Amino acid sequence: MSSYNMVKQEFIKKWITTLHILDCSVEHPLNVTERKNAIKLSSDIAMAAARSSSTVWSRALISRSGNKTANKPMARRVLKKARNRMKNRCLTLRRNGNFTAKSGVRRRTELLKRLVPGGELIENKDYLIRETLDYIVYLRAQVDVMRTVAAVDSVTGNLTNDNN
Amino acid sequence: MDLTGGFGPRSGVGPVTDDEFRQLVTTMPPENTGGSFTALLEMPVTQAMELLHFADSSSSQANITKLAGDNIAPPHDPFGTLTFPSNSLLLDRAARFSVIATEQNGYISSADTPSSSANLDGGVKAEPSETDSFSENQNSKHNKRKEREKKGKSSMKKTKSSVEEDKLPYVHVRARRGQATDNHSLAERARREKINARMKLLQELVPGCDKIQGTALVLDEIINHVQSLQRQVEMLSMRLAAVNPRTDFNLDTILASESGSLMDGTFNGESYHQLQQWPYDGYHQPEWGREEDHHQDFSNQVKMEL
Repeated sequence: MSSYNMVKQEFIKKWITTLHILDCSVEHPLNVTERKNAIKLSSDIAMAAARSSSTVWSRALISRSGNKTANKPMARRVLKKARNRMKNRCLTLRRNGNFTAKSGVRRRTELLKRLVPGGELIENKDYLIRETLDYIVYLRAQVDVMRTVAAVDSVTGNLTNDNN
Repeated sequence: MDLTGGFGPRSGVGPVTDDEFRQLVTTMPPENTGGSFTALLEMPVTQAMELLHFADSSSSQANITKLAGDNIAPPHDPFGTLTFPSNSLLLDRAARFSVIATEQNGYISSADTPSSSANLDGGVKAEPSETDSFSENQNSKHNKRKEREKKGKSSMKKTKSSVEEDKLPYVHVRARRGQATDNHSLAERARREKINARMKLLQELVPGCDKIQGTALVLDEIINHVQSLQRQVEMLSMRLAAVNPRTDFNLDTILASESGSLMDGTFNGESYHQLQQWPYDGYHQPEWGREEDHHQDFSNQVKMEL
């Protein structure tokens, strides 16, 4: 009943969707790295999707992932809407250039802005912190779910391999 | 793009704020150490929810003035618009809590506040023992709570000064000792206070951050936390890729076992049933994807595969 559980459930739902879609649309890459990238990508998209695009970081994450999956039909469909929104903002940012800060708080906020997806687009420090809060919650949900899945997998991995 | 618009009404898909508030208000033990803000915590859920949401200000203001007594100046919205031009909704919230904040700050300056704040912390920290073990949930609830509280504080100074401005023809603003009385610096101060409030929230969300003083170090901790979480995601996805020969894991069994671990002992029959059912329903429509047909296709595909 707690909302953190609901967050995780949402994430799992979306993750399964994206995994299936990704799996259907790609010839099976045998490379571990490729598989890892696919998993990470799908889970990132799922995490952002679970957040329902009312936060900046979720939209930014979706549009950022769009560049990696340019060929995949799902990504293109899903990301079309979000990507258009983010495109304009990114353009204005690039035009303004980079300003490096030396003093402590200023430097750290810029670092934080680079860490949080879409953080660079937020001018107000207030909103940046709110976004970070939200992002941390969802990031933690992602980590928890993946850890559980990995734990289960390591146990049942042998069984499924035998069945196959 | 209006960032603030995103924080207003929440959809059902992103269940972060509303449910947390509701649960927070219902499960938080009543605090009786005085102060109108702690009295706010004892308010019935509906009233508190009114204050939290961007609802009509009239009824909630009536509640607040009732609570706070009659020595508090009513919030001054016109003055507020000068310094918070960005969001009138945030403004309303801040204005509403300004009356409470004046009381609150009065208590903080006195000697018996440590007990009240400690009680508040103790009351909230007692929650994890009652509810489930996810500290993030509690912390984010706690955070949003304190966020409201601190937001009220930020407009406190402005209301004080605005009251004085109304009485005199000149701008005689009585500021705190050693601080400028400019309009700009007042706005700056208010903004800084809001940011500090949020920093405190983040402090609680990030473990081990409570003892650190100073914005820079707290930001350091937060950055470290976000980086470590991101690295963990990387490692876990690598691990998952290594274990499974294909990206499409055997999700049925994983789901079944996960539902057990997720529910953490509080195993609702209906929630399990819900979990079992939803892969085969039409998927809940995410906000960004209005492609009903595509999702129907994929759900059919899933049915065929599984």
